[in-house]
Amino acid sequence: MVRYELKKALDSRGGKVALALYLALVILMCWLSVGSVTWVDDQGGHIKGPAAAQKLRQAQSQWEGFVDQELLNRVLQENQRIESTPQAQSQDVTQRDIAFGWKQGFAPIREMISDSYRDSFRDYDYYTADRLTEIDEQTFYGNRIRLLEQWLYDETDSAFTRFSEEEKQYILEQYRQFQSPVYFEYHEGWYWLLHNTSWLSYEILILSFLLAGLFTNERKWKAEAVYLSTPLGRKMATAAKVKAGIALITLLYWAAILVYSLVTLGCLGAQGGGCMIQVRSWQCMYNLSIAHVWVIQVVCGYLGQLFLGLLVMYTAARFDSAPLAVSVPFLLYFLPGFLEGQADWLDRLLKLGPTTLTDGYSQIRSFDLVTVFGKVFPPLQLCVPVYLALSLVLIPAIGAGFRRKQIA
Amino acid sequence: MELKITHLTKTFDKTTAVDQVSYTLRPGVYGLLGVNGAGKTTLMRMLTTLIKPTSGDITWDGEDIFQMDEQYRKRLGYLPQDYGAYPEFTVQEYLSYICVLKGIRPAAAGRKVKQVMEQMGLQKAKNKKMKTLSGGMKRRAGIAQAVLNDPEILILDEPTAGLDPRERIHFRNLISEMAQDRIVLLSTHIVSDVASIANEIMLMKDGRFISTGTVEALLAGSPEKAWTCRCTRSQAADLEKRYKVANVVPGTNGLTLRLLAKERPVEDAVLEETTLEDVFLSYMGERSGDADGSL
Repeated sequence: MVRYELKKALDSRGGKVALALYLALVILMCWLSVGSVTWVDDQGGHIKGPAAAQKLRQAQSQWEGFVDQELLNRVLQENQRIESTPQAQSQDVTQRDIAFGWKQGFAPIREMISDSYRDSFRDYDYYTADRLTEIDEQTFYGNRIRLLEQWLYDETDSAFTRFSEEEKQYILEQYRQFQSPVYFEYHEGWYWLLHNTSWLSYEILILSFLLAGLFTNERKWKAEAVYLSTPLGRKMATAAKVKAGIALITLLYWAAILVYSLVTLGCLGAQGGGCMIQVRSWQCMYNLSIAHVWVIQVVCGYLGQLFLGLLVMYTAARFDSAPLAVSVPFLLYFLPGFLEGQADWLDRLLKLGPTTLTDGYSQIRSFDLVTVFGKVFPPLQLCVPVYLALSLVLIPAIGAGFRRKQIA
Repeated sequence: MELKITHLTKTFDKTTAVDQVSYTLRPGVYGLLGVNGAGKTTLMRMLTTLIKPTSGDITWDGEDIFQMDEQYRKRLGYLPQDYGAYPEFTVQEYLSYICVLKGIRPAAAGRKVKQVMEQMGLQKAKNKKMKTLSGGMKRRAGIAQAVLNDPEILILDEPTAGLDPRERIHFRNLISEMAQDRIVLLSTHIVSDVASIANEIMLMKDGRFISTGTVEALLAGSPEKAWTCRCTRSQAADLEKRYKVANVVPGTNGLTLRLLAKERPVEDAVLEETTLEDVFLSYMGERSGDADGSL
């Protein structure tokens, strides 16, 4: 039965258009990721893609290792040497690009230094590292907590009232648990894989047309009277529709993840997943590796897609309207943008929306927290069990709505 | 095998589509005749469990059909009036899918699909997509899906709508063949579709059965008789206002009218044998001028 439901959904013209759009989205993601890595050569020219990744990997392999006093000194010295060259001093863009090209091997470490030695938590100056004459490992890592404390307890900053004392302590504790020194190696494949995965969260906007059709196509094709008057139409066949919907969400999501990951890591390299996320997001409060963040992103993303997909199916089955059903994920994606900043309680509620799950990477980089009964949670930690439970409730509710359908 | 309807009523908002209908159906062909909007489709949709009645009961061998649920639908074959199918399925795929929905085991399903396609003359079209079929072929597929499970109750709502006369005769013959040992309920507003094959006929108007029985009984109980008379065009206009006119045949010296009247309408009128169409017009007469007046 599931096979027939999938055939109904995918063979229709709308189904073929949705699949084509879906494929286009995956191709776009691959293209964006593979093209994200840039290499500036000795002449100041730019190349992108796998060739750039290859050159960057070679350059960064010389800077591999724990970011400790020795490595920090080496980076600072090399940076100073490059900064003193005529190319770096030049006002000509090409000359400056050539100088930048010489820094590519240690660029992420240089940016960590600029991050660490910023004037305040909110300020960032890309050129801070260029002005430093000496560096101390303890200060380099200690600045994270020092600047955070200043930010959280600065009465003139909105952070002072934004976080409760429990939340401030939670953030500080996360920072304290950060283990230094961090390890650095080439990780561009994983970084861009993670960076562009959030595009897949829009998958559900395309898939919703297929999912809504599972429950409304019978009416559109005037086939529902026969369907619902058969012995198994209201029970097993309706359950097959739900199964087909879950299969569509699951298979298409994981197929896209597989293709996208293989292409990205294949072209840009699969090493460096073990680097801490702070190598690229210095202020991130969660102590996770880039690969770990990516796993959270894709697993939470799947749960978010599953919930939204089930909600589309429920709306289609309950209200017998494909336009209403497909508008549900659009509203959930774009409405929070309009509502944000209207009221504090609303902002907190929006943090717990289902789209929180579909962009785990942004969540992990943010300082959003939710306090429930005095206990502090990252929104993702709350959203996972809540939306898992809601999904489990929705599954039988979809069938129940369709089974009771009457045709006047 | 008994399908019993007792005081069946269905209302939509303030409209009563079916009003206190009672009847018992046993194996045989039943013709449900009525103009559009008479309540035929609503009655059939209740008999197929697609809608629940506002009040009254429908029982199969004494058991409520809505309680029987799946067990009742196993006995049912249904061709709806506005029949549609999955456009991208081939005829064979479509019938195989309906076998799955009807719970026919895969081993038997292939054989059954083949048999039904042969019976309905669909063999040559088995690999054609449903969306490419002509109206007549689509109706054949509709009947085919209805009979796949050898139903004890076969409900056909306007099965001949939109078909040419040749196809309609073909369907009549098919229904006659299938009528053995099962209840066939056939709804139509085309009298000739049921006149020759129905064992009993129910005339439905405004949600009620206004007359029921065999063709012979309906003819005998007709409230009016059929008459023919020759007249001029101006006389015809006057007669049409006073009597229900079943037929008008233009001739060289005026018109020949077939009128329905209790008594001789004009002096030279000739009494004719009453047909089922005359009975139908006699009951539904006031609407004979609208689109349903295809008599």
